[in-house]
Amino acid sequence: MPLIEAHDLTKRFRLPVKSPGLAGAVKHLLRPRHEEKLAVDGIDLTIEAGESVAYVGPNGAGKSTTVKMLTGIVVPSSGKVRVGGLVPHKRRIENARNIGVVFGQRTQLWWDLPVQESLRLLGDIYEVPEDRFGRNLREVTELLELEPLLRTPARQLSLGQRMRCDLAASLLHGPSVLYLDEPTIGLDVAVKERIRQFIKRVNAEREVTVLLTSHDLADIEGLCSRLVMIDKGRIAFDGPLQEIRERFGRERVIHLILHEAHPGGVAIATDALRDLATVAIDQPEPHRLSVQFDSAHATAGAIAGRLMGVLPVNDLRLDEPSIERIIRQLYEGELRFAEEGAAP
Amino acid sequence: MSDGALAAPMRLRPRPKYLALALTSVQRAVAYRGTTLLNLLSSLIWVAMLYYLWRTVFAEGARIEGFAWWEMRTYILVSYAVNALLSFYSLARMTNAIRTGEVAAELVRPVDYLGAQLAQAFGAAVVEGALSSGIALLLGVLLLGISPPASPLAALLFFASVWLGFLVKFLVGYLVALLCFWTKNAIGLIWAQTALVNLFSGALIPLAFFPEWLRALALATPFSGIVYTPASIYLGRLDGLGALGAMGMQVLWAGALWLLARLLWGPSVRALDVQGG
Repeated sequence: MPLIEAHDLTKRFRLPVKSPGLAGAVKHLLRPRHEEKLAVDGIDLTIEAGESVAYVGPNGAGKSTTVKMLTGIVVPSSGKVRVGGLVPHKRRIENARNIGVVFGQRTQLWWDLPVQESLRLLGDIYEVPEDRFGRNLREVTELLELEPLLRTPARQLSLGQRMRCDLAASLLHGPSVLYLDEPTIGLDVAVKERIRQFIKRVNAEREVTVLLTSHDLADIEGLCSRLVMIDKGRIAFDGPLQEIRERFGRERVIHLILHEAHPGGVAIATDALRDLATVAIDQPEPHRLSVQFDSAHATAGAIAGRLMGVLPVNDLRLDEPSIERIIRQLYEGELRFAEEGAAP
Repeated sequence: MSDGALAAPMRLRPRPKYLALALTSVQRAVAYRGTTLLNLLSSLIWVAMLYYLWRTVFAEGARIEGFAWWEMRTYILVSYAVNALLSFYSLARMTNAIRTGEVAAELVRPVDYLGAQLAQAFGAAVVEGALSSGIALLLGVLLLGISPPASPLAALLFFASVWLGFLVKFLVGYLVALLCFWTKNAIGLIWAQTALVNLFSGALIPLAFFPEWLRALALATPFSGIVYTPASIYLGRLDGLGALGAMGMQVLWAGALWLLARLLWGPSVRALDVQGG
């Protein structure tokens, strides 16, 4: 049985509609108007134990709302949801014992308590038995190098230190699912990498299922093998990260730097490449030219060879698509899954 | 890394969770004893004001509705100590958690929300209660000549009644906090609640001084159990069956409010507004 199962899961919010200014406020008071917002619109999602899934989408796409329904905080408007066999919002407390949650923007620690007292209190709240508490505490302290931080109150920690402590706090009770909401937001590169290594290890060694929402594409590439993308409350893509690369990764770009400014570059190149399947040719600056093409229909060599014959090329560079660029384009609506022909 | 590397050895055996929450709250109140003390002292200004106001009213050996001056000044100090048990800050903490959405972080933990809030409020109240009683006792005995409880039995009943009153005050605050799931205007709610509680609990004026109809109204609300009941027991104005009856009302109100809090929890959480898709 899958660990997380959602079927036709939907959440509608009622939002007040207010006109601006005092007049609007008074009007709202006399005749309140509301509009329905469909935050999550009938999604189906199945996650097996031990998976590591990136849940991505533009702001307001419905990511957090989904996670809040999975954790039992938000009650779905309709549809079915089960986590570890439990309906989260009906059995919130039991579900809470099996999950760990990290909010990148908000700490789980008690602000004014030394970190170790927060950890101790969480051990009490989750009723972690003595031996398991000792073992888990040692493990996270060592892996996240928390030793020097244990006696510091949470409010005095830097963002990176706090995030390490928050991760420790979310794992003390040995959850089977870990929800990470923007875990590396605002951190510097070195700390981000350290946090990723740790999460990867927890997923691989402890077989903790990870559901990660992030805007940091390096998080996604570094941690997850599966990508679920949500847009306007609906799932736009669900599949292996590798598949994204294969489906959208055929596009390449050759950038040419010309020996001198060459105003008619585009026309010359278009003419030279007439019978090759190019997607777009662009001349951002008089001495630069870029050619976008589909690697299934043309080779970089053929294109470069022809252009070097007609233009004074000094230097050239080939861009391969990164997951980052693909996802960014998906966000911005530049790529469409449907147009690709392949059924998702 | 060896065990010894954990500099301060941590307790490994779990404590019951609600006890652990209450103890943490005690610890925080002690850690912030400066703030706690400052709060108590600033509300002493209020006491001083009431004291001088009523002294003028009671000048020339007057008695009002059966209250002599020595009773009135005792009432003022006792009601101060009782009302200090659940501070403005404990109430504001609950509403703020909901208003700012911090409640989400609490809801992902395996604790009953009402139970956890009560445990934390209780922990803080133990410290605030000890301090406010200390201050009241010190001031009362040294300066103002307040009288001890009417009898040893009255002292015992007073103690029980104070904590029942605490429970009622907490539940009223909790219900107001739940309203924040719907309206996001926490400050207005807290002010309205404070005003109602101060008036109808007898914290401002003994209910005996109210006109008949207003007194009947106040006694019919749960608020009278917060200050008036324990203070009247202390003074011996309520004793025997009267005291037990008033405490029975406190128990009934606590039960009814508890039930209401339970009933409202579901719809309140459903109204939980989550910002950010």
